Amino acid sequence: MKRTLTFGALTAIIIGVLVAYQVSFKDHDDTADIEAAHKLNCEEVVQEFLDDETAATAKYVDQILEINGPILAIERTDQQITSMKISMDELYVVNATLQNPFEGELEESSEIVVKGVCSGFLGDAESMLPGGVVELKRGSIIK
Amino acid sequence: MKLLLVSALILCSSVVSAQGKYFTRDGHVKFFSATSVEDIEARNHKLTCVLDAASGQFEFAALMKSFEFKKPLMEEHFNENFVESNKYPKGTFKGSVQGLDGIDMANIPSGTNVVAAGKLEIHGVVKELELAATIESRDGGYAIHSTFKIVPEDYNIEIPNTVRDNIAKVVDVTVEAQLKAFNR
Repeated sequence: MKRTLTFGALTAIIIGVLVAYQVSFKDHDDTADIEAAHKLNCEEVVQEFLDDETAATAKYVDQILEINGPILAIERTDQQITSMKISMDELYVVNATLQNPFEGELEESSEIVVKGVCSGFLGDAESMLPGGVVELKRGSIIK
Repeated sequence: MKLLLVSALILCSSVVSAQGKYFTRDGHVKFFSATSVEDIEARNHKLTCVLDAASGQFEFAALMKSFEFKKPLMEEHFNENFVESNKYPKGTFKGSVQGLDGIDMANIPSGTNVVAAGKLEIHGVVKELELAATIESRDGGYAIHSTFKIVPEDYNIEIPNTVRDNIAKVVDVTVEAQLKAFNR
């Protein structure tokens, strides 16, 4: 009986340690494998935040969004694409950083579809700039 | 005469452009916490930063949820337990770059030291700060770089006892921004 209890306790401890290790060192899920909660045009989503930031925050933040629109600007690190701005207007943009650097070629002004986790809206009502940015992190290029 | 006119126009345009606003929406901000237990780094490549070259007024802002950590658990703790991103979604600095009076804004040499004095707001707490920074003219705009330290406790960021040894008491922050002319 005592041996069974000891064995059970040891097993529970080992499982607990393994679960804790798994949780602590788990990598981010791959956004590309997760279904988007909302599919929108870049102008639509920026406008929703401008119209009612509180409602749009509740609706979109921490959700995976699939955004389509023209590429405004591309940022490269070590010749790989790491982030991009999607919009026709540099003051009203969706800014997406990619989960994995993209090695292919993309051209500014071409249409793109990107999926990513919405981290919120950085509006500039209180600063020196008009407009605002909807921010996506861990983005993935769909097409 | 024509040459004189063209030269005058070029000179005027550089003076005018050097007096306007300069901005970026993809500046970089990084923080780094080093302890004997572990090093923690988070990066945000979506810093909005604006400089009014005429007045020296200077601002930057970042969404807390746009900081990316290597491990999701760290990111979750940061947003939910430390900076409470749902309640306080942004970190902002509003102030002015001092010492620009004697500087030729159209041609600032590399590594020019300045001080940005203003208010840093994180976690709903506002603190007066003087940030040492360098500024230089680059690609028709300005490149700004600053490293400074913040003490999480000063911003009422409570670190639970269970991870107290994992988080440095003083965190290094690096801000880098390439500002371009705001032409509207």
